Amino acid sequence: MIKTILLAEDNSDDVWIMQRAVKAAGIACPLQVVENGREAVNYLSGLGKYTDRTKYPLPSLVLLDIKMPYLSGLEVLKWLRTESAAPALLAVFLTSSSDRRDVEAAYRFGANAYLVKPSELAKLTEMLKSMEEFLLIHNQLPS
Amino acid sequence: MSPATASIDERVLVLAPTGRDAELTLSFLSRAKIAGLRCNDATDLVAKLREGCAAVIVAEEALGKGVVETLIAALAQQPSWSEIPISIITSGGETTAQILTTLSVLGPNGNVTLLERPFRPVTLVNTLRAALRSRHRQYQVRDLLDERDTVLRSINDAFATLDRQWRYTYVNEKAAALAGLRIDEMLGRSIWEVSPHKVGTPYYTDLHRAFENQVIVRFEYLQTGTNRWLDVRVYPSARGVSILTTDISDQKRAEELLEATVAERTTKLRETIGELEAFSYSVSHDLRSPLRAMQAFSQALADDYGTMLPKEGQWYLERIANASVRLDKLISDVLTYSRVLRAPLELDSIDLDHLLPALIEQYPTFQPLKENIEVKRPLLRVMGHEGSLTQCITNLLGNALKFVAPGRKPRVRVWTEANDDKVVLVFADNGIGIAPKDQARIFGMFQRVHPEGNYEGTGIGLAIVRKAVERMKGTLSLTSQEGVGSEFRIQLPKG
Repeated sequence: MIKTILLAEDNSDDVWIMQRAVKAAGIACPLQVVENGREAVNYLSGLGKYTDRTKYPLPSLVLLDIKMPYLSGLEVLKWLRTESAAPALLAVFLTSSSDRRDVEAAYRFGANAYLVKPSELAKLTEMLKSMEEFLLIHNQLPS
Repeated sequence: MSPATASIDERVLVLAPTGRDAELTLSFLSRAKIAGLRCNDATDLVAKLREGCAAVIVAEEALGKGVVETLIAALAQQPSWSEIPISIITSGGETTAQILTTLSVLGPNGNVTLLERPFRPVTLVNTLRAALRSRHRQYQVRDLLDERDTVLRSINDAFATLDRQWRYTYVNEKAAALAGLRIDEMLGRSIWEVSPHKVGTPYYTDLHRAFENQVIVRFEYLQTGTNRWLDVRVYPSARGVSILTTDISDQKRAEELLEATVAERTTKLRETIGELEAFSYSVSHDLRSPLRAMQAFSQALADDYGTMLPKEGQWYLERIANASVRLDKLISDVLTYSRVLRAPLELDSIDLDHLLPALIEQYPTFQPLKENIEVKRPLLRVMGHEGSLTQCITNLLGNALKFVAPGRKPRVRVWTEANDDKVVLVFADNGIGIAPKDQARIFGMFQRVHPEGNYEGTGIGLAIVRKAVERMKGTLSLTSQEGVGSEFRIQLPKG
């Protein structure tokens, strides 16, 4: 089964960087991108254009930025864990904030991991590679 | 006391109906060196008596019915300390008995002596001397009362005394003003009658407590109506209580104002801190994002098109990449500094002998140079915060290894010294040293001593160390000689 990764990221530079790093890391999973928290909720609920699950398949992993328009990464996670149809979905923060309060809040809301984006492309690539290996290859996923 | 007053105080008034009687009496007195003054009639006597005198001698014949009454009225108006001695020269017989009855009106306190004719001059003189002695004791009481009044009037506080029935026995002007009454409206009346609103209040219970337990009681009281804050001190005695009251409204209001100001400033400060936190959050998230893009795109450009660029173009790219790395380091140092500033620190006993070698082993930066660090073990324990200490140690070791003259092999020695209940952690290096003129400023933010090209750094490292040491209630000192080396000393409480 092909495992899709959903990336919620509002900054187009960061989206480009992520796409390049994913490719450089040799990650085969398709990367879907939404540009804010509300879109992430719509995608995961299959609302609007996201009703087409062949085009927008339900992901095996959600990568969340913290600070996003409409709904923050933390709000998306809270919704995911308490209101969505897939409360067990893997959710990992990938953000530039290393603020302790953000980290604590993320785990309290049920994040599976919290990663701080390295500024160097090579390091980001390395991080994504080991993340994919651990979470999507070795790790047993919920159904 | 002026001589005029003295003579008035000492004079003996003589009233006799026949001039001969008076002359005779005066001459007896004069021989005994007693100052006598003859009065023409009863009216003259009363007028002089009001001015003042030591004693009065009256011949029985001069005491007609009207005269006795006038005299009684005048005597009744004496101040409380005064009781003018009166000697009456009588002839004995019926008239004497009648006068005595009349004079008994003067009451049990009447200071009256009878001198029956015929008497010898020495009897008159002795009687007068006794009268004068009694009068002098009264003057002493008068002077004491005057003194007390002067003192109590001159103090800025309200003072009153109460007897065992809570009746005012003394009230100074301030006390009367505080009660909004005249002194004479208060004297003799019970405090609870004068100020019925006080009954049942803490004022009432505190006054009773002072008297019943014979203890000094002090309390603050908000006077209703006037809305004034009073500091009340109650001193008990067997006769009742004395109350000293100070108006502390101004002081109270100043305190309230101060408290309000402090509260307001605290709120503002909290807001400022909140804004600062928001600011540093924004620095960590928002400033870093475009920086990351700069780094990533220049990296991508180098990766994808690097070979197509001429040498100079590649060099430009390298400069962009280096600048962005430096900016990234700057941002993370500023963040560290702000975290050190505001993070709550709980101080613990820290085992430096374990922590410091572990840091040297684990920190990637120290790996190539760790042979150059010499730790004199065992290191003593200190009271501190592990995270902050780690920050201090890595920054100081990093600096010691970095700021070395080109071609020289860095050497850093670390040890601890006991200093009473303190422990000093010392870092001594053989580096380039710091000129005396720079030693004071290197602990400030963004302070660099060396041009940027020579030694890498953000100029924040030592500011972080200083702040961290301060927050661990320690002190940081530096001795350094240019070209020889530096010694940084962190003094912390013994762990």
